[in-house]
Parts: sequence; structure tokens; C-alpha cells
Amino acid sequence: MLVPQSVTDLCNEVTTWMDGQRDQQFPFCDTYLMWQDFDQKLDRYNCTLPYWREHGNTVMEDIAIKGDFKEEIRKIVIVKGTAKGIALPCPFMSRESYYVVKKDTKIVLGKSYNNVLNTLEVPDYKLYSWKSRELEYQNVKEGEMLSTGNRYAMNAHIQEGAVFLYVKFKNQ
Amino acid sequence: MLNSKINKTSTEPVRLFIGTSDTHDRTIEKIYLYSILKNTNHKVEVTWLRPSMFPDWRRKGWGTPFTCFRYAIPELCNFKGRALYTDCDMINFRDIAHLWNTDLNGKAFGMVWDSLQMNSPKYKDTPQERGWWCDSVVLFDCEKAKEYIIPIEKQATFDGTYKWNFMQNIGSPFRDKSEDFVEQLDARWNSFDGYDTSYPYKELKAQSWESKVPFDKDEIWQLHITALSYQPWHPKYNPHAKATHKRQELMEIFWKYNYEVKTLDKLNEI
Repeated sequence: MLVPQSVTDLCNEVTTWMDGQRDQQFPFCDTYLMWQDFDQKLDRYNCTLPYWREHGNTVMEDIAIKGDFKEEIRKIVIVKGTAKGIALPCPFMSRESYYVVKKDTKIVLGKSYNNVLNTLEVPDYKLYSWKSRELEYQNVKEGEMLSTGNRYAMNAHIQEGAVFLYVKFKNQ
Repeated sequence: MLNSKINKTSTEPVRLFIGTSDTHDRTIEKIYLYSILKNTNHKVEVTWLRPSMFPDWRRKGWGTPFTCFRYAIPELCNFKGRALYTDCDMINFRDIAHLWNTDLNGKAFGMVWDSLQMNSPKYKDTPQERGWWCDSVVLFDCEKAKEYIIPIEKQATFDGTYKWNFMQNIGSPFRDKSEDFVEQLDARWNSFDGYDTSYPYKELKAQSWESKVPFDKDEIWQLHITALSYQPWHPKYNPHAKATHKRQELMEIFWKYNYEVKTLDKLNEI
């Protein structure tokens, strides 16, 4: 599937005008949180950037599966790769999506969180025995997206300068 | 609100010290300075108080990378003249020379009163449970301040957060003990996230945003975007969860200035 134009435009706007933030799922990357629903009593996070306030609903409609997008989306964060930046798989499995906006990005999938985590360093993608570890990887091209359901762990091997929009959904 | 009296119209530059991090607050620094210069015809001499300026200081327990550097200011000025300190997370809307020239009435410090400042737990359920001077904007008479602040070399090795020691030494939480040497500044010079810190809240436990008294946007002289979680740029040193600022109309100003200073930055790329 292709990245919606609304997502590409948002990523371009955000990485041009906002400063990178910290997100523990993406250590050392520059991240830009747009939306987050917390399980605890914390208020829902809704970025104050005027562009997001104007176009955020369109973006969420374009990436949601059902109409009630504000109830089904847990988190939307834009991630920009840096020299040291890495992405970590989320240990709480639910539907996730990566919208790759800049630079092709390898994305690893597997039913075991630990096996996915253990691929943080892969010296040679062609030599690595993905099958014996019940893993697979896909090279997601710039302008394409990849989603998984809630029985898979997923992780991006992010390069410096790459940009993607990461979405975590709630388990319905 | 307090009507602060302006002592004199000095032509000397505003000697402004700004507490900040080494790298994580660069955009708000520019926005703050840009906003100051938009609103004044006075010269402003800025000294940025960054951790790299104080490499040997103990900073354990500080809430920000720069929490206690402000207490070095009188000594950095050789205990002479005035100095103005502010945090970096601010946007100015009024000529800062008016703050600079505020009459301290012979006192050592000018600060805004914060009715909701939490005091030591031992004052829980007493009239002193909340309320104290906030040190995020401080106008110093450097000579007079010497009496109340320990030397820099002792601050550097202080075991803990020196600001709490300082506050205790000037009488916290008993306001009457500090009235001879702290002058109250108008709360509009340090509006915490768009609210009035000095409002005499009857319900001192009021902490929710909804129960705070807001300033209208046009009433604010200096906006202090102080709650770390709510700062729209979310500095990487903040360990807390991110939260959405409650005053979107003030955030629109932040983002407008953000656009303007970054557009100016981009001139360097041409």
C-alpha cells in the first residue's frame, strides 16, 4: 500500500519546522509526537502545531481502518533517523503501521518479540537465517507502508535521514 | 495584580542572564530573544547560563539542567549593579526595560509571588502549605544580594539543590520574614503558562488547570511556558510524559515565532 499524501505532507511540514523530541521506543532518533492516548488517567496528547490541528483529522482518517479513528489509534509519532538512532519493537502487541516517507527502510516481523529485538544488529541481511528464527524482513520502499496485526512484533531498521510515520492502534 | 513602580528610566543596557540547557532549548532561546528585541529599544546584554559554563558543578536533583546557576549571578557581576535573571522558556510581550527599571525599594531581590508554590511537607494543612517567591524571574541588586547567597565555589559543591536552601534561608515559607529584602514583581512578568500565579486562591489545594485564574492573552507581559510536560518543543531532558498545553491560542504564538526564527535561520542555508 502507498503512503497517503496527507501523511507525506505532514511529515515534511513537521520535520521542517519542529525540533526533534525523545521517545523511548526510538532511542537517539528525532521524534515528533502528534497524538497519544494513554491507558492511565493522563489526558490524551494532541500536538499543538497549527498544521496538525488543521490537517490531523484528515491524516487520522487516512490511516485508520474504521471510522471511529480517535478511539482506535493509540499513538502517532513521526520518526527521523539520526547517526545513532534505532527503533525498538513494542512489547505490547497490537496493530502497528509504518508509513515510510523518506529512504527505503527494512522492517522485521516475527511472532516472538525477543527474536525481533535480537535483530537490532544484522551484519548481512542475505546471510542472516531469518527462517530458522521465524522472522522475515521486508525492504519497504519510500512512499510505501506496512502494517501488522496484533500477533506480530515489528521493528524498523532505521537509517540516518530516513523519515517514517509510526502508528500504534489499540487492541479492540 | 500589582502595579509595579518604575524607578528610573535608565539608559544602561539590560543586563540579562538566561538559564538554559546546552543544546536542547535552542529554538525557544531564539524565540525568547527575538520576542524581547521586538518589544524594546533598549540595548540588551545577554549571558546564557548553560551547564558548559559551569562544568564542575554538582547538579544532582535539579529539575532542569540549569536550575541553580541563577544564584551565581550577583558574584558573576562582582556584586555590583543590577542584573536580571529569567529562565529561557519564555516569550516576551512588553518592553523588558520596564522590568529592568522596576523600583526594588532598596531591596535585594524582585520576584513574583506564586500562591500555589508547594512548600515543605511539614507545612501540610497549615496556612504555609503553599505560596512562595518564584525564582524564574529575578531582578537582583547584586550588592545587596551578596548577604543572602553563598559564594559560587560553595554553590558548585553544594550537596543537594541549593535553591531550596536559599529559599529556606530567606524565610520560606513565612512571607513576612522576607519582606524587607524581597520586592514583589507584577505577576504579568512571569505568567506561568498564561495564568496568574499571585492570585489569592482561597482553595490552596487548587492545582488543576481549570481552577487557575488565566490572564487574557493581551494582559501577559511575559509568558513563562514552565510546565515541562506541556512545553510544545518537549526538550529531550524532560523525563515526564508529554502533555498538551491548555492554552492553544498561546501555543499559536509560540509556533508563529518558531516559524519566523527558523525562517531567519534558513537564510544561512542560501
